[in-house]
Formats: sequence, structure tokens, C-alpha cells
Amino acid sequence: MKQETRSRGSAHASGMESGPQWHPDPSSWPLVAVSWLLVGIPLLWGIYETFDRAKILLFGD
Amino acid sequence: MAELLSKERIIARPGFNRWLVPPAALAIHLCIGMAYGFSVFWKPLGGALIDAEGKAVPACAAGATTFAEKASGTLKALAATDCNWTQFDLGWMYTLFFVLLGCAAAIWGGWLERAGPRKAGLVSAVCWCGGLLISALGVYWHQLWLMWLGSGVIGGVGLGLGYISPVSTLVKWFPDRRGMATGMAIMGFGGGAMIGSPFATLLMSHFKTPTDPGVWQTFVTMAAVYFVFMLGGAFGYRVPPPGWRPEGFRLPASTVGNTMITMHHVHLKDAHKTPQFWLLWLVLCLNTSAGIGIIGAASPMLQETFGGQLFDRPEVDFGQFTAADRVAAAAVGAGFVGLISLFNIFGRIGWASFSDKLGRKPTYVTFLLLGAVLYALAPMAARGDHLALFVGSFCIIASMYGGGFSTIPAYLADLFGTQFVGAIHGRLLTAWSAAGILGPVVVNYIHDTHVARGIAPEHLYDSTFYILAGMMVIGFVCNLLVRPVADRYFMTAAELEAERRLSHETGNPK
Repeated sequence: MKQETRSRGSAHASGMESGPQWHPDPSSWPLVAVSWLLVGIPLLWGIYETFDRAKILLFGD
Repeated sequence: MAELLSKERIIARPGFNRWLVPPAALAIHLCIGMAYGFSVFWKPLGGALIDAEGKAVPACAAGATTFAEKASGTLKALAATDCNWTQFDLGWMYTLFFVLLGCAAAIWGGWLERAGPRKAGLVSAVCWCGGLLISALGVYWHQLWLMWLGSGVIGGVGLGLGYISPVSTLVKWFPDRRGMATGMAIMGFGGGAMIGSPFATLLMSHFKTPTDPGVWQTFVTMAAVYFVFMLGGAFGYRVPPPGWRPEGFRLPASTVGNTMITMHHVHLKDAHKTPQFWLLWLVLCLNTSAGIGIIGAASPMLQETFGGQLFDRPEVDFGQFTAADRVAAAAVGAGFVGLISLFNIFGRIGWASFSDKLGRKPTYVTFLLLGAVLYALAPMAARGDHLALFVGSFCIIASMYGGGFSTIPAYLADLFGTQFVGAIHGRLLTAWSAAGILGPVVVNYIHDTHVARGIAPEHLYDSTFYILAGMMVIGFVCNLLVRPVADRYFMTAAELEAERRLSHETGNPK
């Protein structure tokens, strides 16, 4: 039966093999900001609503 | 259409900004996270059927006290159209959610790795939102089985696929901050109910009439809104080319030579053959069981333990509450649930990010050791009437419950490599399904047994806390036993290459 090497030093089986590297395109940052706003605004609203409910325990009536 | 969804199609072009991926993942997780908030529908649904005088008709399980009687009532409620549903009948939806979530993630995780996150995100959207629409029909026709099938079963499959859809992708985009990246997405699942519950309340108050609580209309509206968001998330996913790294990225000094962070990959079919998989399964199951049990019982636990102290009448025990006291205590209990939810979601991003610095194993050592200490101290805090200490302890526990979920994908990526991390994570989520049954059973069974024995309300949870502390200690030992995966489980270069071809990771960027 053919035995294959499974050593930790096997370069091609490594997750850290050399691959492409790049900096993000500067023009992509406005889209990043819009994406985060689209999910961030509902999330902040939810956190505010929850905090509003929790206030009674933290600060009383 | 098939090409639009294919994995080759979503391999990122050079210059793509990786910070676009977490919001796409959040968009999906914030929608499916509403599963936690479904209890907002229980009360309106419990009184959905009214008689000619405008009063709610009796429940199908009216007068049931034992488990068998309640279960029999639920069987009757499944297809009956002339009696109302109880919280017991509807509560099975939670069991279905988390059992189906774990099963779907385990079954289809391997498919997801090859089909890509966009296809998985789309299927998740169709299942979750389609399930809500079927539930709307169930409410409209007053058919409980349709509710269970729609949101519970079909929606549960959507939960599983949606939950794991971004894991592998995020880990590959953020090799320098695996914990933070997956923490951001999984924070969304914790935050979904925070948005969904008040949103559903707003919609129900908009749609309700004197004869209709407005639930089915709310389901339809939420399905439409969630579908748009989830589609946006699915189409926002991009996968990096194999071996991609951020410009200038170098392995941190702490990583080089760290055998707990592998540079290799274990195949999905081999992962469950390793002891590490089962040790982490136990760690997740025990940490989650303890957390779910307590979070599910947080409000009554606080009220029973502290009684009138919650509203400046310390001389009044829980058993002596008047109707007005109950209202005041319930408001404080709801506040406690809210506070726990906040710690749960901030724990998800906070602990997962912290694990990037501290390491995954030490982070779990912290969860399990500190958790054991806090559970063991809880009866003392209750006996000494230290409300702030009690609340503070459970807030920290809630943060570590959330942190346990969000740190596990990075722990798996460290041990098993990134090639199959999403699918391996999917299989590990069966621990969550088991915990969804184990945790509430332990807490509720002991509680009900103690109530039947006539134990004072302030001591109802003492032995529960000690048992949960014991579970954390077992989890702590399991975590200590986790060692690097043996070399024989890693894929060879040829196997990895073949897998990447199957996974369409060698296509041209579009």
C-alpha cells in the first residue's frame, strides 16, 4: 500500500503557503462604511432598546 | 443563476476590501438570531382565539399539571382549531430550532465548504424566511403543526446553514484576527433577538385589531425584511484566493513554533476521529448547557432568590407577593434578562478578540475556571443578600457563554486548519443541540423537584448552581486535555490540492 508523507513540514499541505497579498483599494472604504452602517444602525437600536429595559435593574425606577 | 451563485464567481479580485465580509455575515446572523426572540409571540398567540364575548377560549391543555398531561394537550393542539396554544406547546419551537440548527450544520457543513458561502447564505434565507411564511399560514389557519414545520424545522435548517456560512470565509480573510472576525459574526446571532423582539412588538401593535393579535402579518413582514437583508449578506460574501494574506502580514512570533496553531489541514471525514474534536464537543456542550439553563430561567431565578429586595420591600418573600409586587418584580426580572443579553453579545466580540492575544486554550481555561467559581459562589451571594454580586456574577457568566460560541471557530481553525473549519464547526454544533436539551432539563427539573419538596424560594437554585459549577470543572479538565492534533490526521499536499479543485478554489477571480 502506498504511504504518503503527512509530515508537518510538507510545504504544499500548509495553510501558510505563499499566496496573493494586497492592500484594499482605497475607493472601497466608502462602501465599507455604508455596509457597516446598514447593519450597525439596527444593532445599535436593538442594544438601546435592551439597555432601556435593563435600566430598572441598574438605576431603579 | 447557477453561475451567479458558484464559488468561482465569488473569489475576490485583487484590491477587494476584507472589511466588507463581516457586515455581510452580520446581516445574516442578525436575521437568524431572531430565533432567540421568538418568545415575544407566545403571549399574543396564547390568546389568539377569542369567543363571541371577546374572551380568550380555553387552551387545548387547559387544566394540565403534569408533563404527560401537558404533552397530551400539545398533541391535541397540533391540529385543533378550536382551542388556544400554551407556552408549553409553543416552547417546543425552541427545541426544534436548536436541534435542527445543529443537525443541519453537521449534515450540510461539508456541502457548504464546496458550494461556497453565497449559495449557503441564499439557501439559509429561503429556509428561514420561507419558514416564517409557513408559520404565518399556521397562525392564520390556527394550525400548530404548520408553525413547528415552518419556523421550527425548515427555519431551523436555515439557522444551521446561515450560522456556519461565514465561518470558514472569515477565518481565511482574517488570518491575523481569527477570533475577532468570527466573534463579529457570531455577535450578530446574539444580537438578532435584540432587534427582532422590539421590531416584532412594534409590528404586532401596528397590525393588531380587537379580534386579531397581528401575529401572522408580523411574520409576513419580518420574512420580507429579513429576506432582503439576508440576500444582501449572501451576495456580499467573497472568498479569498487560496493562501491569501493581508499585505505585509507576518506570522506573529507567538504563532511560530506554537503547536496549538497548525499550518496544516484536517479533512472533515477525519476530524471526528481525533480526541480533540470530542474534547471540544464536551467543552462546548458543558459551557453552553450551564449558560442556556441559567439564561432561560434568569427572570424567575432572580425573583425567587431575592423576593421583595428587588423593589425595596426586603421583608417580603417571593411566596408572599401581591399582584402589584409581581408586576414590579417582573419588570426587574425583565431588566435582568436584558442585562444578561447585553453581556452575552459583548462577550461574543470581546472574548473572541481577546483570545487572539491570550490564545484559545487559555481563554477557555478562563471561561471554565471562572465560571465554576462564580456558580459556586452564587448560593453565598444569594444567602448574603448580595444582589449586586449575584447580578454581576451572572453577567460575567453570560459574557463567557457568548464567548464560548464565538471563540470556538478560531479554536477549531487553530487545531484543524482552515480548509474544513466551517464544516467541522458545523459538526461541533451538535454539542449546542445537546446542550439545548441538557441545560434547561437540569435547571428546570431540579427547580420543580425543590418546589415540590417545599424548599424556600431563596434556596431553590442552590444545588443547581453547585451542579453547574461541577459541569464547568469537567469542561475545564476536558480543555486541559486538548493537545495538538497528531500528524497522521493532516491532509497530504495531493489531498489538499484535490480538495481545492473540488471546492472550486482554483477558479479565476470574478
